[in-house]
Amino acid sequence: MKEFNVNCSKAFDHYIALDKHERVPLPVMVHLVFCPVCRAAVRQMAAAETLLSRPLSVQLTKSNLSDDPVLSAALDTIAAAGLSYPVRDPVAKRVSLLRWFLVGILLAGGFALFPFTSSGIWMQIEFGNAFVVPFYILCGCAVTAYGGLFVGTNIDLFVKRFKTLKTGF
Amino acid sequence: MKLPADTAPDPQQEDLVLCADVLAGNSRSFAVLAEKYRKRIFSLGYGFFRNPDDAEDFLQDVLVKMYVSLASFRGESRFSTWLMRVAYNTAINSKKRKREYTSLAEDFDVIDTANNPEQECLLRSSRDAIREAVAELPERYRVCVDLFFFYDMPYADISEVTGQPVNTIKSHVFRAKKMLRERLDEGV
Repeated sequence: MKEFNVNCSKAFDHYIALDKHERVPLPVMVHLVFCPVCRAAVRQMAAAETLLSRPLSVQLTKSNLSDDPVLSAALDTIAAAGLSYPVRDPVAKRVSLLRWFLVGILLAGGFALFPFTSSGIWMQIEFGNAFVVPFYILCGCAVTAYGGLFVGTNIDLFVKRFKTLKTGF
Repeated sequence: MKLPADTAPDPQQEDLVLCADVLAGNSRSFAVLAEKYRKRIFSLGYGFFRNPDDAEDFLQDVLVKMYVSLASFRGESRFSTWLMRVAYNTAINSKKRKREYTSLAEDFDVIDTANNPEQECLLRSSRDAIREAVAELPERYRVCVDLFFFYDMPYADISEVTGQPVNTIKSHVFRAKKMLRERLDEGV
């Protein structure tokens, strides 16, 4: 069987210096493709790390929680100290990014294609610039408002992405 | 019906929705959040107190703090990271804390789950390697290695929780991983 050589050591050091869920660099990946010893070692390391973290991996449970004595005690302490948050209306559910993009594409597509429909062509012929100028102003306003609404309602996501790009984590 | 991967709920998004729900007075959402993270908080407490009763008291303290401070959580970091920071600071400042932090590798049974014999062998070797690695570290760095291996936290999050520099954490984890590699090479 092939032995662990200097190249293997370098590649493996690169591999174990990686953070959680960090992408494996291309040179390491290439080495792994051609080196069965390292490939097996990486597989073993990954399996070991998964096993170590599995007991504490976080999963959302929907079990009946009312019997939990620690939680009940915590809630009692909170209630006794008068620290409970006042009941307000339920929080509105966030619209998924996929929906935002689909509706955005539909909106922009609708505006872009309207002048080529029979109604659009008729209006351009009938009213000329009196239709074209207000129509494009309306397009601009609608797309800007939609974009603003999208960024405004998902601002936390943009802040997080910006920070990720800045710090590299 | 199984959801496609891209429409599966994002755990961080779920946490934010649950937090907003708790702030709106929904104690059921608080119970869900508490249930989601109780094992992690308890384990951290167990590492500091080495006693299940004290660890349960610690869990209760952290849950109360989580509830009370939730209004100050602005979503700048992940909820899990914020909560672990609350738990870590609570443990560090606890008057009950008489001992040094002991790695979970010393007493993994407290969080262990059923494995097949092959996995059990791999897990035993891994635990031994982590135990060996943390034994040589000062107390304040032991928890960093645990947070990486057992709590599945990235370097930046560990740094945020413990206040240790990222590069220091990286070098300790690197050393632990090297030991893990050597141990796996020998034993499995």
